[in-house]
Amino acid sequence: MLAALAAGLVLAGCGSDATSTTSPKAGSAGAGAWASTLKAAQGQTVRFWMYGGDDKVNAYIDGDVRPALARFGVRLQRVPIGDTADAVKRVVAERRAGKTSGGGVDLIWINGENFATGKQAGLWLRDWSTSLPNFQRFVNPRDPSIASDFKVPVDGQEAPWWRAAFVYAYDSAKVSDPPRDFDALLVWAKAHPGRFTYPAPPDYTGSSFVRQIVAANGADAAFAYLKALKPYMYRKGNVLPKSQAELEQLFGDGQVDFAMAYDANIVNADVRKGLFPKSTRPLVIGAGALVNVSFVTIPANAAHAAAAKVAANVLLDPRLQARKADPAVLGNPTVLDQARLGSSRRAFARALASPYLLRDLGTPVTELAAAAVAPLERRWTREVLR
Amino acid sequence: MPALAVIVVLFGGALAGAAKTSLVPLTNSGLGHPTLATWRALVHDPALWEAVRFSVRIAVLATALSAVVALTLALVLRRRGTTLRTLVALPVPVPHLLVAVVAVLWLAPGGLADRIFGALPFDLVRDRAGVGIVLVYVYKEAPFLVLLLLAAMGRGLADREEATAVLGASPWQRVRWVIWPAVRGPLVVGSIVVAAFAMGAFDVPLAVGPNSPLTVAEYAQQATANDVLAGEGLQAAALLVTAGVSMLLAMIAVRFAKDVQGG
Repeated sequence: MLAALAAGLVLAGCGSDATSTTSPKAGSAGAGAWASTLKAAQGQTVRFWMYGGDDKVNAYIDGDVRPALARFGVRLQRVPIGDTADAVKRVVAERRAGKTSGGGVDLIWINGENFATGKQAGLWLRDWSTSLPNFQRFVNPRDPSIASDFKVPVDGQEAPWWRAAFVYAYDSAKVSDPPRDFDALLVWAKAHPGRFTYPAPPDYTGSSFVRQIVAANGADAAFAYLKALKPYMYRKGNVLPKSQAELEQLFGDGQVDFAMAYDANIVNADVRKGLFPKSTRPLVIGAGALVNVSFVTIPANAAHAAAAKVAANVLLDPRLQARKADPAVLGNPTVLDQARLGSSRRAFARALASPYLLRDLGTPVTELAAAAVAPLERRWTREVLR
Repeated sequence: MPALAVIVVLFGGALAGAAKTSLVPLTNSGLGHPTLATWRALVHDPALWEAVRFSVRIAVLATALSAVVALTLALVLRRRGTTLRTLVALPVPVPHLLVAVVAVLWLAPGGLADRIFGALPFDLVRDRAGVGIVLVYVYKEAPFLVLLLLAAMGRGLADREEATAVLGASPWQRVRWVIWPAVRGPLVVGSIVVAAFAMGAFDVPLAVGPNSPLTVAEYAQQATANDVLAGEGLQAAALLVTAGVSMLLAMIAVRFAKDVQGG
C-alpha cells in the first residue's frame, strides 16, 4: 500500500514536471519563443521517420509518446523505415529537387554517421535543440556524449533521447567464467573453437564490435587481434552472420556462446521474447562499454518544424524517459542528468532492479569520429574477411 | 509506337536520372557542377571489379544452367499431360525472396538441415562461390523458360518432326534442324530476361550470398550505408554499370544464337 502510494507520488511529481515544460525556467524571451512554438504546433502532424523493426520501441512511441503529444494538440505519425539512411535519402532527394520548404520528413531518429553527412550538406535545422525547455532543465549540455555525436559537434541541430551501450550476452548455465577483456576472449576462443562470432561489418553491430576493439587498442593492434581471433571463430571465421538478428538466432539455438548488441537491454528483451534462455546474463568485455547517445533531428525543409520541436521536447520528458528506462518497457538508460532530476529521480529506480541489465558499464569508451567508420569497415573486409 | 514511347520515357528517364545523380554532386549550397569524380572513384575501387566478376559469373552460370535444364525438361514434358506441366510450372509465381528465405531457413549454417542431420558437409548458403545464389535462380528461372519453350513447341512442330522422321532424319538431326530453330528465339529472349534479372537483383544475394565477394547490386546497396551523400552518386554509377553489363550480355546472347544457327 505504502509502495503504491510512493509510486503514485513519484508519478504525480513527474506529471507536474511534464506540464511545467510549457513554461521553461529560461528567460522570458525563451519562454515567449517556446509559447509561440507551441501555438504554431497546434493541429500539426509530426511525421517521425524512425527504424521500425523493434516492436517494443514502436509500442512505446505509439502508447506513451503519442498521447503525451496529443496534450499539446500535436498528432504523431510514425513512419517506419528499415534503415535510417532511407529518411536521409528522402531529404537529399527533396534538396536535389530544390524543395526548400514543405518537406515530407519532420523528425528523424538519426545515427552519428548520417547526422555528420547531413550536417556537412546543411540538411538540418540549426540552433533549436538547446533551447528546448526539457533540454535546458534536465540535460547536461557539457556531457561529451551529448555535446558531440561520433565526435561531430551537435551545435543545436539534434536533440538527445536514447542512450546506447554495447553489451555482450552469455548463458551463465554454460559459461561459468566469461572473459572480461579481449585478451581473455582470445584465450577463451582458442579453448572453445567455433563458439564465438560477430556480424560482418558493415552491419552496424559487427562494425561496433570492431570499433570497440579499435577504440581500446588502436587500429593496427585491433586488426592483428581480429586476424588472430578469426581461425577460432564459428565456421573458422569464413562465414559470419550478416546481421545482429542472425547472431541472436545462432546464440538462441546454442550454436555460439556469445551474442552482442548496441543495446543495454538486449538480454532483457530477448529473454522476454523467449529467444534467449532465462540463464542469459549481460556482460561488458574490456574496460568499459562502447557508448553513444542517439538523437532526433529536424530537416531544414520540414513542413512541421514546430510540431517536431514539441515532439523532441516530449521525448526528454522525465516521466517518459523513466518509462523508457523501465526494464518492463524498454530498459534504455536515460539521457537526462540524474543530478538535475530532483524528486523524479526515484522513478528511474526500477531500471536497476533487473538481473538482465548491468548496473555498471565500466569506464565508457567513446565513439570514433564518424568519418573514420567507413574506412575501418573497408579495411576489415580487405584484411580480416578475405 | 506508343509502347516504344513508354519504354523510352520510363527506361530512358531512369537512366538519365541515374546518370545525373552520378555526375552532379549535392553540396552545401545545392547542386554542384558536373564532375567525373564519382566515376573515377568507382573505376579505381577494386571491390567494384570483384563485384562485376562475381555478378557476371552468377548471371552466366544461372542463365546457362537454367536454359539447359529448361530445354531438357521441355523435350520431356511436351509429350506429357497437363498435370506434370503444372507441377513443373509451380515455382514461377513464387517470389524469389521467398525461395531464398526458405533456402536460408533450411540450409544456412545453424539452419534446419544442420540441426536435423548434424553439420552439412558443404555450404550452399554464404558459400564464397555463390552456388546457393545460382541454385535459387535455376529453381526459379528454369520453369519460367520451360513455359516459353512449351509454347513454342506447338502442334505444328510435332507434324514437321514426323515429316522429317519419315524422310529418314535421325533423332539428333531432328533436334538440330527442326526443334532448335523453333525454340531458339524464345530461349534466347527468355535467357536475356533471366540474365538481366540475375545481374540486377540484390535480394537473393543478400539472403543466401557470401559476406564477400558482393554482387554489383549489393555493392550499390551498401554504398549509401555509411554516407548517403557520397554513396548516392556511387550507387547510381554502380547501377549504370549493371545496366551496361546486362545489355552487353544480351548482345552476346543474340550473337551466339545467330552463330549457332549459322549466321
